[in-house]
Amino acid sequence: MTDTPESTAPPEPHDGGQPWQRLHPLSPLLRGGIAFVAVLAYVLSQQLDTIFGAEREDPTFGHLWWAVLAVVVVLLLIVAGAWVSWRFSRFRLTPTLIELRTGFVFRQHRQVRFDRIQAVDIGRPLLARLFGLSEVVVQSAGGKDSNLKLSYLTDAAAQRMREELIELARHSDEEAPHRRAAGDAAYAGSSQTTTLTQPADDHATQVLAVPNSRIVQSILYSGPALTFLLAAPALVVSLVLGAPGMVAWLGPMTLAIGGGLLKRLTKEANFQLLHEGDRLRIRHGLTDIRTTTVPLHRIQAIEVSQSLPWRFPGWWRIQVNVAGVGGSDDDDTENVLLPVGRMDEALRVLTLVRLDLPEEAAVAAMTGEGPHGGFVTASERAKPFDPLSWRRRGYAALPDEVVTRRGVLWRSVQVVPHARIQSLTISQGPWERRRGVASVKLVSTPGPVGPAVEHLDVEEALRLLDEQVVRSSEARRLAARPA
Amino acid sequence: MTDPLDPSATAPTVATGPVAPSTPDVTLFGDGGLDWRPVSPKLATARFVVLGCVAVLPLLGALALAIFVSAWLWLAVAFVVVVVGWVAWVIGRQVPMISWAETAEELVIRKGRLFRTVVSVPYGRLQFVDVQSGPLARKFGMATVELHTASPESGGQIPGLPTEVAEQLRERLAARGESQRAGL
Repeated sequence: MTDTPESTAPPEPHDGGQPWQRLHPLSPLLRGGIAFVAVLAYVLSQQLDTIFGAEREDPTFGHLWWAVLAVVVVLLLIVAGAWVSWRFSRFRLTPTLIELRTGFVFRQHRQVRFDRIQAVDIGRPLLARLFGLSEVVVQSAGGKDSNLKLSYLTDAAAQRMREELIELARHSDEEAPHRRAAGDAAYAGSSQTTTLTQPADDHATQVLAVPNSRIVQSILYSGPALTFLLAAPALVVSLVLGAPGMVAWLGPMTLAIGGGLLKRLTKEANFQLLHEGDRLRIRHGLTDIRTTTVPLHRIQAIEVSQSLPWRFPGWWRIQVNVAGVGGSDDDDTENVLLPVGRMDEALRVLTLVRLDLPEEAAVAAMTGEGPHGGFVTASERAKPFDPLSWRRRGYAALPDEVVTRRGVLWRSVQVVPHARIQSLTISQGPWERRRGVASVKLVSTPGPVGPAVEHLDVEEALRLLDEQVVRSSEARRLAARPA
Repeated sequence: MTDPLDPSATAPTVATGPVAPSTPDVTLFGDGGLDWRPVSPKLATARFVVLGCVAVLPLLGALALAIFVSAWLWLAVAFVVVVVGWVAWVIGRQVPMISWAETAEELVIRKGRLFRTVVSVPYGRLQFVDVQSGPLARKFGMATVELHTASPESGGQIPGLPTEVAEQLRERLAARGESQRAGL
């Protein structure tokens, strides 16, 4: 084989792209090989005693050197495989996209256009961190498996790569102004003011950092934690008393809940939110430190919520929908802008994401009820459906966004910019028809936030649909017009 | 908007230009001044055919059991007949309720009688439009138009459109989607 891996690739037009680059040589080993080596080492260390120890009990029946040779060959094969895998993984940036080729037998060629990049993350799993390596994950809006992962690069290279990709993504957005988000003052304003050659971390200002003690407390103040606190002693008691029937169902339950809590803790620990020009950077994780960058204008919808146990300390949680990010249950922390925070912190994050959201409207949405703050709420007709929350359930149409709120015990508020509403649905079942109410859903992109106003009076629901269509198309038209 | 709509692609029933809030309103029942268009009544026939194909096996099975095993199993036959009859009745009531309307900004689809839904999909939000027709639908000269937005749960579906209506609708939607397109 010659030294030009391009010869194995289909001919590329000379489009001014950068030369192909390689990942860090340790990458294949870190990605999987190292697990095998560890297993092998463990097995060997277990056998050493029997092979070379006092009681020689040869497990290879006299073919010791063959066995050693086999082990060496296997190791060499692993290294060779890793080397081939490394040789054949390469990536480059062209003027319009980033592409990654992997695989020797099964080749894969994945590319993401800059104008389709939704977010760029940096991940540092424990093992990679030991070697000073990071992975860059390029999120695009193409469903579940549409990420492009550069694993691994050195920490510094990963930082540079992310900065470059975000810059390129932003540029391609500006070149296509009809793609630009509506009424997004944060975006429109900062695109002129931020310099285009930004170095790494320095420009970011910290919006907030959540102390780990509060994260632990917030996790304890939750339904699963309460169940865990009840189930764990019960499990111990039934173990001591020897009640196998109880252990059979308490054991797995306790383990599952405890595991879930632990997972949440490791994901939300060390949470930091940074603000930099027109994007937010989220850093979190106990063992696996993740840094996610979300361009502000890619946020589709925001939710502020408060569970019943969080009422007493007055804590709120903020989640967002970003097209292409999260969606699967596994990585839903990527959508969390604030895992737990006080009212003032929640308001700070809210107004950072939606600059034009008046604070009194936000407060009315979070804690208020009734028509105060421009809200249109469900009427008494909705009482059979929401005996407690009918006064609170409603929406407010602000100049740039719709705010929906619901829940008295479990409060939640959703904010969607007019231009970001994908479609609207009204539904009405037979019981709702008898009471003259209907439910409206403002469909956003997939994610944890689902804005909806349930059990509005039929007339109000239809008015919301009619007016929202006009508001949304106006907002989109405004966004399409070059600034 | 800088691009005018392609005149050849505009339906005569659709007003161009922005809609003032006082234009015909979307309603849950009645037409409310909008030009609601029904789907082909042949859709009901097609669904009856599918129902018949699905029902024939359980019916024959229950009949055979009733004749050869126990007279009590005539109850099972009666059950199958009642279920089939009920589903047929629901189909007969539901199909005429499927209707759709185009306004200047959105395509509205109404469905259901007992559980009503109204889906409004703005043209500017359309990512792509599918026209599908299976063998049975083709036999009846029908096609299904499916609208896709960036959210999988928000797409609307109009089943049982006559093929040429479906094609025209797809072309109109493509033209409007292009001229009113907005980014995510």
